[in-house]
Amino acid sequence: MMQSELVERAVPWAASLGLLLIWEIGCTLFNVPEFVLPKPTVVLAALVQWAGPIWFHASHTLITTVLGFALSVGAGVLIGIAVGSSRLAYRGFYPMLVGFNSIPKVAIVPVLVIWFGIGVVPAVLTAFLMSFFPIAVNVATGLATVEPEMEDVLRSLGAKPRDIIVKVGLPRALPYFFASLKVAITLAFVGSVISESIASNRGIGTMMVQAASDFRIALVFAGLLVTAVMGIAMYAGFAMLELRTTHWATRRMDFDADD
Amino acid sequence: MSPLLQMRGVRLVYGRRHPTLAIERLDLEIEQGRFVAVVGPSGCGKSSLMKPLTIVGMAFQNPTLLPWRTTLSNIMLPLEIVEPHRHQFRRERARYRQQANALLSLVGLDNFGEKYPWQLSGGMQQRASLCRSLIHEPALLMLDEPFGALDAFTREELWDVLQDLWMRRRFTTILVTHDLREAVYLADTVHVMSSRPGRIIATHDVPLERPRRPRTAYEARFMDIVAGIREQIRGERDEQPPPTLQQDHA
Repeated sequence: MMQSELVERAVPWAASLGLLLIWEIGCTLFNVPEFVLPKPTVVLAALVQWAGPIWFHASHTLITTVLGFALSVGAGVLIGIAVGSSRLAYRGFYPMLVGFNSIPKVAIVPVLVIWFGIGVVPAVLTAFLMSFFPIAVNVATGLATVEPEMEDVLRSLGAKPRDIIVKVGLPRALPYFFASLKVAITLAFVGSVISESIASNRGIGTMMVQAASDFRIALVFAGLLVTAVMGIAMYAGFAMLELRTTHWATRRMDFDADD
Repeated sequence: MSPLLQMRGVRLVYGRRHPTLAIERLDLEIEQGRFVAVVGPSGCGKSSLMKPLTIVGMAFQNPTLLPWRTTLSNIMLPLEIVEPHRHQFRRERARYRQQANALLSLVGLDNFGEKYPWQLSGGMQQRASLCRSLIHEPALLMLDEPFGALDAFTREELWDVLQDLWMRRRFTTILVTHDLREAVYLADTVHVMSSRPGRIIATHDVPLERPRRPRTAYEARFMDIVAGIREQIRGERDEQPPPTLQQDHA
């Protein structure tokens, strides 16, 4: 038991290390030039060498992303509740939402820049636009799939539609909501980095574009690595929160010892 | 005694595009404190009976307990919705907890209040569901095939649980079921419904004294009543062609 648990904990680290190892060996073996694909050790060296600027840009991206993500949680939940609890809202808004989500967000950034200027605002909005859709869809799904019998029970008690949403719909949508947060936070990173790389003078996206034009490919990869790590960290945070708040949905048979 | 519930010429139609006539010219009268069963061939619109009624207790074949609430908190759910409890819920929480625990112990679930529904067996969940339908002391309890999903032993065990509960509290009850033995075992009066559109075509009083016990079900009187009703339903099904109106799949 103990051993298998240890293995389970070690596997994600081992797999990532394995990938880096293959990457390192591959680069050495095939003599890949550094400006095409730098070795992980070189990337690591760049990470250390440029730690100051990287932190400066990365922290900016993190804040931008979290702001955009917070917006999308708020809007996503509201839209999800509207679409999930009213048939009319569903029919009215759903095609629009799907259509909107199909638009490549890169195409919107220039428009946002025209509206709000270069800098933080378009990045926050792009992060928001990338990430609200999965939240809205998941909340709506949780609400729309309330068992009709459960609704009958509540309605027979004289419950108003709002009661049904608050007592059954929302708690039921919670696991869906958390699942969507994990997807949404990673999308929010994509959004803010896209916007930064097109129109900003701060942020990891900006830094990577600059580094690429200076042919500092190792620094570009360092930026990618940092972005990935931030994404993983946020993802893990929400996964933990999910486990705590919706233990009933991931029910393991945790009978108490006393029976 | 004056009836608690009176339905006269009730008609119920389902679906807008392909309307299905579920109930037609239905008359039903239930006196305060009586236990009434409604039986009939499947698809006769028995469950539809429940649709027009509100502020009743309800229990279904599926216990419909909420998995994120403990059993106790599931049972207290109606108190968070029904007036006047709703507005005094916070103040009276302790008293309500007591009431819920008392009900739990009546159905033999002491000490299970803090467990989650998914930690209980099917029969236990159905007991808890019964408690939930009774906690707010509804004027009328509607049971729609409440034991249909349980194995035979558990089902008959729960007949007695329900009967004991009813004998103590005497809530007016309508039990919808296709199990004739269950209907005769539990009810004072058994109404037989025709197939669609549903109507009450016969009413049988069950003169068996209470409490009825498992061996009651093997007495000749009991079996005669069941056989009589069964004949009637079979005759009813043969007489009527299958419903011509389109079935509603919505």
